[in-house]
Amino acid sequence: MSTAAIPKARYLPPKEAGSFRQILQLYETRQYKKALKVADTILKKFPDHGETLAMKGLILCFSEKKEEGHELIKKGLRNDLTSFICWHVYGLFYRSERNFEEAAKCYVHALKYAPDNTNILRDLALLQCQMRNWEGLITSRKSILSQRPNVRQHWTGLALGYHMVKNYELAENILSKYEETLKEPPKEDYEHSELLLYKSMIIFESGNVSRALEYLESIADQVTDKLSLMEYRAKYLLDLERLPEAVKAYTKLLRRNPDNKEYFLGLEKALGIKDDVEKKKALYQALAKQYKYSDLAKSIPLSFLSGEDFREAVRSYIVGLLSRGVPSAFVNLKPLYADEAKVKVIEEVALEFLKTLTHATNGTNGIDSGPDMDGDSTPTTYLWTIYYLAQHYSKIGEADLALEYITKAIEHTPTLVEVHMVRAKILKRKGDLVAASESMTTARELDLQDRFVNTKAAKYLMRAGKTDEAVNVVSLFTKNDAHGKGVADLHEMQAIWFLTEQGEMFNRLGKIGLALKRFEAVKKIFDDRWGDQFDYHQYCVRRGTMRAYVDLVQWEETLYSEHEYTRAAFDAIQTYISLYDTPKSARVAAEFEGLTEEERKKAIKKAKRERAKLNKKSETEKIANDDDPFGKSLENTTTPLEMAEQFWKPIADSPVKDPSWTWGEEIGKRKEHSAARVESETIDNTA
Amino acid sequence: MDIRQATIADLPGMQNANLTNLPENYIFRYYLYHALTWPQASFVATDASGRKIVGYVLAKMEEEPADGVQHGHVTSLSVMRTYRRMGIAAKLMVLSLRGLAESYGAKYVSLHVRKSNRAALHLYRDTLQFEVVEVEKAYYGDGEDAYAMKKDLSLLEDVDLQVEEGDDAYLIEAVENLKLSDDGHIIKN
Repeated sequence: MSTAAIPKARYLPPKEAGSFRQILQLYETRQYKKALKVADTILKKFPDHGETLAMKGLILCFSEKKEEGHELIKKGLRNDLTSFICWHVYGLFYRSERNFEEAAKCYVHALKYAPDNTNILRDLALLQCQMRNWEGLITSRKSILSQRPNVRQHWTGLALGYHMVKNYELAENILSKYEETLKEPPKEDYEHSELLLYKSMIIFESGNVSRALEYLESIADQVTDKLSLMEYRAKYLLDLERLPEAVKAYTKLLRRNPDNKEYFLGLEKALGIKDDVEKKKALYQALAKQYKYSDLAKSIPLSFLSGEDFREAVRSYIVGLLSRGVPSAFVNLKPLYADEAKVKVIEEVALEFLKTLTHATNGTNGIDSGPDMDGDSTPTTYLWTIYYLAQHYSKIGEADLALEYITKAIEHTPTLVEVHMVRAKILKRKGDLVAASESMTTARELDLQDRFVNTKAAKYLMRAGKTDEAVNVVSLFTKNDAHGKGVADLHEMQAIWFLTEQGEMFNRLGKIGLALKRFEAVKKIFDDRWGDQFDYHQYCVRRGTMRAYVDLVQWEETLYSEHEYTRAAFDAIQTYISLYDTPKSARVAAEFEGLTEEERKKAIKKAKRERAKLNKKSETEKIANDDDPFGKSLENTTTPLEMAEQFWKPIADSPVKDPSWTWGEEIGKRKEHSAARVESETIDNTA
Repeated sequence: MDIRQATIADLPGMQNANLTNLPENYIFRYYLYHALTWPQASFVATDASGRKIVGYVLAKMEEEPADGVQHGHVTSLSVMRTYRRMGIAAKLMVLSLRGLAESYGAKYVSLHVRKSNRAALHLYRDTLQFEVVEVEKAYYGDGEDAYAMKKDLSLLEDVDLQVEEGDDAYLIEAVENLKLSDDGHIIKN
């Protein structure tokens, strides 16, 4: 820009103009203190200089003086409304606040006054990705590419835009044009290899599978990711019904990984026997022989076999696992429990096997006797078999029988963690939460090095309402605060399971503020996950990992419909709604209902005492540097419906929703009611 | 059980498994960083429903190798206690090592293991043929020493070359040789 074009208010003499450039450099290298000093020297002479004010404001924001900084940025902009720098700065401010929408508006303004500024275009492009404004992204990326056509990432960035609006042809063209700019394709170059696979994926998604395959084969020697190459090829061949080749492709994949379900199912389809039970049975027999250590080769047939075939297959599967002492036999068979006929067969098979291990003469179900040491079985097989049966009976609702078996197992080997864990689970399912937590504690104490059983024990303690004990247990594996507690660490490490369990426990104990605090903490983890993607809009086009990036973008869309979020969100919404339905005055009144004046005074005194005790004692629930450790401000909110809505909105906006989620209506109903009430009160007052 | 390359959607499940099983934990961003920088290095095992992550290996390339040799590093590996003794950890490791070698040209892979963790030591040393390079004093936050271990990947056998023409014959034979009687039963040859 020539001097003549500079508005008078923006003009700085050469010396100060140099200082201003210095501020920009210092800002880029994060030398904020120095930058502020230089800014002040300019402002001494030109106190109204908009761009300097804005830059100073931005730097203050990044130096933990956000309010003051924000004011200066606004002042700077007011003083120079046509400066692209001022608008860019305002955009950066909003971006740091994660207010992406406002930030984008500012960048668009900035571009009005500097249409070719690559930095602003790039920053805008990132926001457009974050907001899924793909049409906008295409426009920004086009201008960036036209300015810098020699950089790979700018081609990739534009192709992404076209890919996301499903304009596969243009997306492919852009990537092809990039390939043409290369004199010689790089060999064994990971980033290049990723780009080629990205293009193959785009062609496949366009529906032209034969061309996708043709392209894939043409790039095979440049691709370093052999696994993707093979997986894509197998999928494409299957899609094209080139079946004999597809059989070979899936056979090759199974060599690499005989524990991948997709490969087995692909092979079934390629052999054209997907719906032919007899042939599938033969196939899996052959596969199980070939891949002795593959669980799937043995377990997949259990889902399609029936009758005697099923009995035979499930017998050999269960006996195999129990004889090897695999604790996971039951969890592996769990999906079959949806089928009653199969459950019956499993029970018969397990009981028969148990008989072969015991003197079947005494007792029912053969569980009153010990293992037969003369047979080829070992005592541990006996143990794992009754352990299995205990889980089986618990699952089908026969709690007493389940307890009988697990008691035998505990008598057999009282030092085995697993048997106590299962006993705990049986008791929990029965509803005896205190006894369950005691059993899980026994399990935990048998293996203090294992965090898995520690986690379980803490969870069971919370279910039993044992607040302090649970925190003490969980803190054995965390980085602890000055009081030896790990609650803050579990927040920092985003332990959703803990926050949700603890929140639900506090709810049950009537500690509403603390409960809400934990649910809010879960929401924050999800909000952070949404924000976390921001850095990758730029990073992935540079790194070239576009397939993983597209995966990220799609996953983030359904982030808030994940069970881990909805569970905590529905807890929170329910709690906020009950705060609205029963306002504080009513809650207090209900507490003292039917009491004499004397009793009432006593009750108030007692409540005061308890509160004081809670504030003093509950270090377990406190987190350092928290001005509201008990969530009182949440509990006393005057806008519970709005708070509930904050949890609901991201679910409502998610493309994946369960129709049974009706919290939106519940909130809406109350808001209408509340609005109507306010209106009628207003009318009453004016009348 | 299903073992496959980790996708972005698997990361929360991996973080949860890590928090459940191990004392060394990481925030979500770190999982994202792994998956978006080295997508071919990490693998997961799911339960029979295919939805729950019961085991994972989180791995990466060493970004600034001190010895100048490109190599991988296993950040974290764990399997839920209720799914142990099925060989899941070893299977995950084998796949990860191959991914590191093929996609990123890793010459070797390194990892740390707690001195007291005998099960892990057995897995790495005996099953996977890692060797102990040195003992790192007080490597862990709680003061425990670590074995620094590594495995040379240059001799990693090429599984794909082992597959020869006609290797799928036994499958086709198994399926084709089925003769069914009129009432639909298999006639055994």
